[in-house]
Amino acid sequence: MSREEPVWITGVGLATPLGFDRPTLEANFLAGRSGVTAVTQFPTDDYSSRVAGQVIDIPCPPGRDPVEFASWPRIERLTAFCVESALRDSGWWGRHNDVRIGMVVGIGAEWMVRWEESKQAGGLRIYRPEEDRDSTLQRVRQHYGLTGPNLALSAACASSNYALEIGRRWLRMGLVDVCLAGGCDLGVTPVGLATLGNLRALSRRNNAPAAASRPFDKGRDGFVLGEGGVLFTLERASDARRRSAVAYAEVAGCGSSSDAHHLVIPSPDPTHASTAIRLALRDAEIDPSDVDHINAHATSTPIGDAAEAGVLRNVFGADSMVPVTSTKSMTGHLLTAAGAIEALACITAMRHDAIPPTINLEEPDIDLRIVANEAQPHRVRVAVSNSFGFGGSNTCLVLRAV
Amino acid sequence: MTESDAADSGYDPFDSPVSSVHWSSNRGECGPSSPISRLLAVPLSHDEVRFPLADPSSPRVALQQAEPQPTEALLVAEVRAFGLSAMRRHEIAEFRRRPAPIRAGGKAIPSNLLKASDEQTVVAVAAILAAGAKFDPDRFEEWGVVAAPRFVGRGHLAMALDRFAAEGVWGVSPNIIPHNALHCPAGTLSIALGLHGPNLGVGGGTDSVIQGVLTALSWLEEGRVPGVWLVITGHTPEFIPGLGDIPPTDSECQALALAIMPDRSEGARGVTLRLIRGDAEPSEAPLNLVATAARLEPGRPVKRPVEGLSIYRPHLKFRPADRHDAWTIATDSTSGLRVELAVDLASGTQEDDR
Repeated sequence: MSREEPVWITGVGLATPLGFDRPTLEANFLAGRSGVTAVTQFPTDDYSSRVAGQVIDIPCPPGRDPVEFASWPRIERLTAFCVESALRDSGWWGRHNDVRIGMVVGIGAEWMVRWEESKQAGGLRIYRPEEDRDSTLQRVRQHYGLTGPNLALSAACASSNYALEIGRRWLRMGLVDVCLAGGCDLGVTPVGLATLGNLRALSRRNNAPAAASRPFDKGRDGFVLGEGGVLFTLERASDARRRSAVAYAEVAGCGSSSDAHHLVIPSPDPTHASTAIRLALRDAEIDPSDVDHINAHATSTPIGDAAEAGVLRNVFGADSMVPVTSTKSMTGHLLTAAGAIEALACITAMRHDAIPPTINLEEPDIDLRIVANEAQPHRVRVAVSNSFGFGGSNTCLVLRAV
Repeated sequence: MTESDAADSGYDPFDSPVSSVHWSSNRGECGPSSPISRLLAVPLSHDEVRFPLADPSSPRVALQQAEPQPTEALLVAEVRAFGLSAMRRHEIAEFRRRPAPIRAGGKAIPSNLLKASDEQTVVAVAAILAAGAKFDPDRFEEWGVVAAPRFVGRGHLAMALDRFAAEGVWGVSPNIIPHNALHCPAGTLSIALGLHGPNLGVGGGTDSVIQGVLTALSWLEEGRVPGVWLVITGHTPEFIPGLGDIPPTDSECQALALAIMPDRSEGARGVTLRLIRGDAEPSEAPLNLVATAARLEPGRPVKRPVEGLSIYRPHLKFRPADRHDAWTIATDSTSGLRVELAVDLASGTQEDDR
């Protein structure tokens, strides 16, 4: 097998604020619908930010006992639903025990979510380490009888791009035959919303939830917390061709770097984030001029969006005409799953020759060619998706149409 | 700098003698670079590796030494240096409060960087400083960081949940996500040491060691980075937060930092980290980081006690030069993977002090 063998995305499973299947999500993306609402999962009167992109009810996968499924921890239900959906969508369902299927998932708050969920239900799990034997991925692997390795990772909001990079590497190494890669995060919890609100990172536009996430807009005042999961089925191109699988895109390039500047604030120096993008382009063996579309990290914070604009100008040129969007305006910020849902937004653009819009963009204060408020018809063969995270992580993913 | 560039330029962060190599006894004595913790500052190179100590409580190691088993190594990398740090809560607090900046080579780590960090992050910084006694930040600039903590943030989240119950939203610390989540140790290390390669937190639970090794070796195999700092951390015994009148456990927070570079030679390799495919028994207990570090120490007399035990193994003196001392440090029985640390006895001097 060639070291450089292409790796394709042949399936996707998702549970997001904008839908639980790809066609629904694509339709909502292109229609510019917001999935941000007032938080309804718990009382929020005392919270500074009371809006979020939520996944209220995680569907029970077909054939599973709904009662048993409901007894699983919420993060386990989310991950299992995405795993099964991705296997079904790619055509591996029913044969998933015949091959080595690995999992690489951005799932940073796994244990915190489980401890908090236990505590809110009156449990004491956080005080009982002996109960913390099996991780979420171990349990999901057992549920489905998967035999490949698994990896839970976190570079905060940059996690999912790392997951796709490592999944691709595992396939090229021959460590797995199929790899499920992406992110799952359930950050909309009482303590999760409180700690990020107290960090003053969240939007306080509580009276207009759908308008709260407004990347690149002068009126932005913080990001909107989101939650959900997106997992892709990755395969070597030769294997996918052999079974005549439908391919959504090629994972063509990945790049990463660290600012080494601040745990929360992006570096004002665009050098290192630019390096991540350049590494991804080099990995994909393309030039900046080959890029048709950029899905920006742009979370709707005053500092972060401006810093990213500087990075994009640094790599693509001050007069770049590459259309840029931030779909966080519709989904909120899915944290460790953000990169995965934004990769799916890029695939949406490729499949429909139309770029999902940045909604709520009334008064841009960033000098980029932003797709504002309505989807823009545009042929997309190569898309770039940026994800930057706490801890100074910078990642970039290049997807190429197949 | 790419891997090939590094090889072309002779890049080797551990190519000069370490001036402050220090070994303290397993219990009590402290090293000069950290007066409050047990630190092991040991560079490893082909001609420095002499005699690894086996864990005397492990019959598996003895069996391997007597009859080495053929294995299929999927990935192999060299361990070029390692550092160990183990601290209890008061020591961690003291480390945080250092009035002067901590020096890492020419770089000063701001004393307030660790103020709100999780305990596992603090010992991770100490361990990596121990490993890089001659730390030169410029030479590590493009290295990656993989941090594999175990149940990071348990104590801080327990406090947050208590305060949330007692005081509501405003009692919750804003530091939980920036300082106590899975990504935090790696991010903090990256900032503390000025590393601009990728930084990533992996695992988080009982399987963090194998996931950390898998990630680090995958990066090296891809040629993404010239080297990786892999830092494994956890509490021993597992930390239990205080509850009501019951105080928190006074467990020891441990970190083992490994400086890993691509495997560059077919022959003698010194110390290697290997991902093996084959039978893998489930791991029953978290990896003992102190014992693992003790077995890596070069030139250590065989009769020297480990954790109060000692073993005399005269057969080692006559071992063929092509043998390895290898021991399993993590397994994933479902996928049939295990991770070994191996010391190529042919690469050392083979002389012990008996």
